[in-house]
Amino acid sequence: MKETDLHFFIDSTLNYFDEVTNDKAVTGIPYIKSDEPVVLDYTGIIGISGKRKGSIYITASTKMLKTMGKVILHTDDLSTDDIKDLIGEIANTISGNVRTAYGSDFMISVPVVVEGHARDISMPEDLQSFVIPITWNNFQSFLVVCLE
Amino acid sequence: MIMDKTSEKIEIDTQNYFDNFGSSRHQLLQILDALDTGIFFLNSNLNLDATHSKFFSDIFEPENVTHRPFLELLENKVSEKTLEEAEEYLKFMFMEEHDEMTIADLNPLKKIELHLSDENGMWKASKHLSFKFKRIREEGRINFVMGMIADITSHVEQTKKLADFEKWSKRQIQWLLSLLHIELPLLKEFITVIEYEINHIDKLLKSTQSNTDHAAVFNKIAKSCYHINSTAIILDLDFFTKESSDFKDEVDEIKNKENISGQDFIPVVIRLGKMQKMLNEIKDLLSHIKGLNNSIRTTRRFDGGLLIRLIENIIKNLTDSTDKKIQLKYHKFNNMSIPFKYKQIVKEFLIVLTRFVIEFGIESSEKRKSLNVNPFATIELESKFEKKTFVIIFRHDGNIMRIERLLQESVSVEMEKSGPPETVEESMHPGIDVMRLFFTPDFSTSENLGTTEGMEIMNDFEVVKKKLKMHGGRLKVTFTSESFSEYTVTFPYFVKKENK
Repeated sequence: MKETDLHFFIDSTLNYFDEVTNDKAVTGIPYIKSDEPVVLDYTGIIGISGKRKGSIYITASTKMLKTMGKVILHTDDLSTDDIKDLIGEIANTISGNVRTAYGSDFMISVPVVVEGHARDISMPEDLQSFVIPITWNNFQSFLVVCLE
Repeated sequence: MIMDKTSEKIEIDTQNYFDNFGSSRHQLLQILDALDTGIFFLNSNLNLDATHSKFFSDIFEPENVTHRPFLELLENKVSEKTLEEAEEYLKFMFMEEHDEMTIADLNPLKKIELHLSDENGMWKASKHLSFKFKRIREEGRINFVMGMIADITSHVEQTKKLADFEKWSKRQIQWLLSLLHIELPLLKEFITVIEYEINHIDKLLKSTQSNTDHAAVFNKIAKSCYHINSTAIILDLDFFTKESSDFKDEVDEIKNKENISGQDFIPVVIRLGKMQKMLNEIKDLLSHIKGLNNSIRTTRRFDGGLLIRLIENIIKNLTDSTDKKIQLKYHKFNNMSIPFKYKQIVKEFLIVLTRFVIEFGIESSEKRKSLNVNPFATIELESKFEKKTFVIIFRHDGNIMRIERLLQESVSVEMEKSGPPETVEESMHPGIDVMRLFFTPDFSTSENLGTTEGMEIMNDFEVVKKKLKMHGGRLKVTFTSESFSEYTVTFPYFVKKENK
């Protein structure tokens, strides 16, 4: 994976937070994902295939997503489905940006939302995955990128 | 009556026709099932006919293909661009005004990768297919378009594997040629050092919180990075040196930035990933060398490891253009036994002392001959554990010992004037005072010390001295015989007792 790829995914994610919540998110220090799971309460995953294969996911805590939902929807009453929609939307935004930037030669899957952190999200084994911690409003989430 | 007969005949004919048709359709399907090519038929709406080969339906299993729009079957399996182009091409196939042969080149499905996903939509596997299309006419009109598919997956994969293997083996041979020049114990040590530093950087990245001082973390990374680079340089491993130098340059560039953010670490993490991969490949390569495990058992001869290699390089570089000849003895030195926390300071100490002794102490072989001593000067290294200490000894038989003796005498005179030493320990190490004089930056023991190079070495000495102090190390100079000077550094070393 190239440096520019990681920058692109990070910028896409940060822009989402900035535009939707008017509150800037900050990137932490990225690292290479080991066998340890990097999964919080809700995870939005998108698959990439075509010229280059891989997957990307964003994972966040219920508290963070509820706070985000409150900012966006102006309500405290958020159902599990609303929270899932929210994480799906973040993944979808990244996915949309990827599609725009990488052209139609890439195939981007519809985001899949996974609830709970009982097990790790499986990524292609032969590829390195990079974890980028993202802090928004003192809440930490993780963007995990794995691309050929 | 005639009508009845006619009707009966039509009925029989119809029945026969259907029987024949059914039979020939059945035969056709049997033939199609036996083919190892996918055959299918498309109508002008680009929908699939019920007649198709088993091979075709197997490709898209578990989906039901009969009467499905053909392009729908390909959705999410090929790119949107390919899908759009396929629609356009297949529509052309039903248009009389386009010559079939001429538009054949427009076929975007001539060679495609079909992406198969799991239940979550993630890529699972790929099939490489080659589609060909042919017009089927009835009474001169284009009635159907027959599609033929060949599964070229194994061919494409084999070709790719072969190309990858060629690239991989070329790289492996180049690496192997570089690695074979190095003694196996050195390689083992190289791998241990690089692995340690890579893991160290990895741990630093993982454990650092976003609110931590990024510059401080970067300094730690830079330190590890320099160590990786210098280790690769010592062994002349071109392929690794290049990668580690790029890594070092990248780190240096970012280190000098005013405000370091999390995103500044991206090049570092990408490089680290590359180095990790390289290291794993080197390890893999070494594990394939037959009998490596047996040969890799370190013998005393190689116990010095990388550090000895480094000292040898320094001796070679500093004596190449001179008439100085030096023999390095290290049979009592075991680099692997140096406690990890002292490795760096021991390395720095030995480098500085070697440079110092060669520059100012060792005479040319001609001069040594005229002094009636061995034209080959000796530098001898020793390491040992003594009581609760780890000891490094540097011995040499150069002429600097005369200066050292003079200094010691002057110290003794000084001591007589100022009274006995304050502590018993101090009284046992008169060399400390000698070294104190040595380490005074503007103190000059010979003409050479006044030069820029001499000053550089003395400044390095100052830095090493401070570091030794930081590590609780003590230095003394003694004269073991008429012809040898000995520098001894003692570090505290406690072995933790295991809990029973």
